[in-house]
Order: sequence, then structure tokens, then C-alpha cells
Amino acid sequence: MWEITGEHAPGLAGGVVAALAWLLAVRLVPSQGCRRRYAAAPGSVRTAALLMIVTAGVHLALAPHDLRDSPFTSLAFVANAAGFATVAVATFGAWWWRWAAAALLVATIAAYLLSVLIGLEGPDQVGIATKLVEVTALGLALVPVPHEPRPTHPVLRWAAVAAAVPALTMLTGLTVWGADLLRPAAGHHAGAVVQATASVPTPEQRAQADRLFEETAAAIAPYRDWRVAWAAGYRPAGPTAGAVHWLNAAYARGPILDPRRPQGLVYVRGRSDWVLAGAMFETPRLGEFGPDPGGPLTAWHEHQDLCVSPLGPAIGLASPYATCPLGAVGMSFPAMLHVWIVDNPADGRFATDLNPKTIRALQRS
Amino acid sequence: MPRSAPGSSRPEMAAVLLLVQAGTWLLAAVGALPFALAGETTMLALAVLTMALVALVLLLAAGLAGRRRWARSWTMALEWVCLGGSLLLLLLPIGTPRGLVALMVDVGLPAALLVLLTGRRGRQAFGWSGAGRVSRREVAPPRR
Repeated sequence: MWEITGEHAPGLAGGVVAALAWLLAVRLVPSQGCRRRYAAAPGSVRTAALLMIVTAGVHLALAPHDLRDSPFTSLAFVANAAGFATVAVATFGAWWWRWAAAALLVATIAAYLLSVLIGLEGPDQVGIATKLVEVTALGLALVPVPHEPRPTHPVLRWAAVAAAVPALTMLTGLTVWGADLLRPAAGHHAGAVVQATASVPTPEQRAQADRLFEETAAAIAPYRDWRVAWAAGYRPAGPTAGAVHWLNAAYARGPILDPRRPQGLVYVRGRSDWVLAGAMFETPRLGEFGPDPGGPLTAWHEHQDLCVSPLGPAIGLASPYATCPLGAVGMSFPAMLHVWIVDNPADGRFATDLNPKTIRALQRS
Repeated sequence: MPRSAPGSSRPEMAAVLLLVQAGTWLLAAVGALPFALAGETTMLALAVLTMALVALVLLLAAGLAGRRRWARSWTMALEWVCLGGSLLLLLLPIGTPRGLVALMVDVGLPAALLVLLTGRRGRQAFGWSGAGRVSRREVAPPRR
């Protein structure tokens, strides 16, 4: 969701090239009548036409990729691009262009959301950006403006704009978000980027992972009493619900992956007291993974695009539009590796997260 | 209230962009709710605050559509804050999202709104001349 996939990169270039070609074409078109009509059109109409041309360029550039494996998809992209180009040209003369543009834009957005829902396409930055362009074009195509040559149904059109634009923006975001959480891209796990490793650990890596687990479990055993952890400098940080991370500022700059000095401890609030669930190792800087002795068993993960509030201990996920609630800012955290000393059967001893069932069991203890 | 209507469609375009912006913020508010349900009460407060902001933005969009000057002023103030805040976060080394969509929504949208509403043509669309306020008589046909 946060990357531009290789197969969609040509779409980005296609959109930019199409926009430039359109802006050049409307100035160089030989017919004076056409140029006059373009110059006389409201800014909203000219912008709607430009945005539709951008969409046409994106889809046309994506068509060759699917030509061999999925010729129907390729043909649909070409037909869609031709449709948008036709409507964009029609904006400066034909009476029917608004409703044709609205129908084509809604159909295009719906087709994208359907393909994301059923897994034909993974959401990425080009796809989301194109949908934002299309929603904006829809609003500009429908919005009534002063001095229209043939003003029709202004109240109905305002109602359509006010309802469709926020609703489609929301629906697109929710669909993309849901698909990304249910089917994360390779190397991603619920808002975290996982370190790339070999898929199968070697016997030596298994032994190293076992040793890291045993050494860490032994080293943090005294911290089962949270008062000892407090005395050692660990303090609760971040969200106070579920698995609560206690961080030690003294170890923020290192050492990395020292079982005796983990950067954090993870506790769950039980019925009577804090229950120690594991340790957390963290690198000092963004974008760097730590040493990986266990190969795929001890892969680090980096939480990216989280919403963090300085107003209180709260963490959420940034929306697909990279927006956070008011009072929170989007940020990322350095790479981390957890070692769970409690039974975490579904996800394992070095999993990115503590399993919710495990958390509930600890909360009841 | 002055409701001058020279031919520009800038107020309507700005209203559409505000509706898009409202949609992106509403999604952020809705996205905070699962965390609030999981026990993060601060997230609930932030979600409610964001929904209040969305309501304000919808009011501003309606005001822009009606070519109200207060809507133009408040929208410009809001967008300057958004743009300044986004640029500041991009400069800080905290890993703020820097993707294509983040740049479009956090920088492109506020910048486009400011371009539409500021400057001589932006003012004229709301009934202000280059020198100052335009009287109703200048911009509206006399009533008979």
C-alpha cells in the first residue's frame, strides 16, 4: 500500500505525460472554435478534463503489462482510456459530457475497488493516487458553476457532489485499508515491514535462535517483578492497553541485541499485577535492521506509518491517505525484535506481535 | 452578506477539494475507532476531535459554495496550518509518510486550495477588487 509496485510505475509516467500532452494540445489545436470554447470554459470544467486525461494516461500505460497474461484486463484499460479521452474532448462542446464523465468515473472506481477486494490487484500508491484524482474529477464534473452555457439540475448536482465525493473517498480508503490488512504485501505484517531473509532457517540458525531465546529469558527473569524493572530504569511508554512496552532510555543508543540489556520489556496488565510477556530489542536509527542470528526465525520488523499522539499514550495506524486523527502525527519506529517468554503458540517466540488470545489469557491471570 | 458572483468557478473548485479533504480526515477518524475500542481512550478523544474538524470543513465547503467571505478566510487559515504542519513533519527525522499519496493529500491539497483562494482572482471570486472590497452594486445587477 505504501510502495509503488513495479508493474504500476509506468502508470505514474503515463499520467504525467498525458497531462503535459493535453496541456500542449489544447493550445496547439488548429481549430479556432475549439480554442475559443476551451478558453471560455470554467476552470472546474478544464480541470475535470485534465484529471480525466491523467486517468486515461495512467490506464493506457498500464495496458501493455497485462497484454500477455490477461488480455481482457489489458483491453479494459485501453477501452477505459479511450472513454476518458473521448469525454475529456467532449467537455468543450457536447451537452452529455457531465453525466458520461460521472458514469465512467464511478464505474472505474467501482471496478478498481472490486479488483482490490477479490485480490486481482494489490493496492499501491499509484492506484490510490489515481482514485483520488478520479474522485476529484467527479466532483469537478458535477459541480454547478456560474455562467454555464446550459445550466441543468444545480440542486441535484450539488447534492450528488456533497454525497459522492466524501463517500467515495471514504469507501476507497476503507476498501484499500481492509485489503491491505487482510492480505498484506510480501514482507509486510499489519503495518510493519519485516526484514527480508531466507525462507528456511539452517540448523545453525535454529541453534542461534534457541540460544538467543534462552539467554534473553534468563536475563529478564528478575523483571517478572515490575519493581525491579522500574529500578533498572524501565518505564511504560506508548499505549496502555494490551501489550504495554516499558522502555529504558539508557539503552536507546545500544548495545543492539544484548540479552542482558534489552531496549524494552513487554508487560500485560493481569488481574492483580503486571505480567512479563517478553523483551524488545531495538536499533538506534530508522531504516536499519539489527543482526539476525536466527535467519527467518529472528527477522526484525519496522513499524512504519503509525499515528502517534503527543497528547497522550496512543498509537494507531495511518490511513491509506497517510492521514492521522487530529492531534496525532504520522511517524515510523526503528527496527525491533521481540522475544516472547510466554506461550505464544499461534505466532511463535520471535513474532512481530503477541497473539490477542495470549494477551487475553494473560489479562485473566 | 456579500454574495458576489463573478464568472470564476474557483469557490466551487475549492469546495470540491475541501470535500475530498474531509473524506480523507473522516477515514483517519474512523481508523482510530478500533484502537479506541481496544482500550486506547486517547484515540477515542482524537477521533471525536477529528470528526468535529470534518464537520467544520463541511461547513466551510458549504460556505465556499455560497461564496461567503468568512468561509474563504477560515479555509485559508486552515490550509496554511495544514501546509505548514505537513512541511514541518516532512523536515523532521521521524519517518513521516513521504509517499505519492501523502504528498498529494498533505501538501498538494492544501497548496491547491491556497492557490484557488489567494491572489487577485481568488479575492475577486468572493467579491473583492484588487484595491479592496467591492460593493454589492459593482458585482450584482441592480434590483428592479
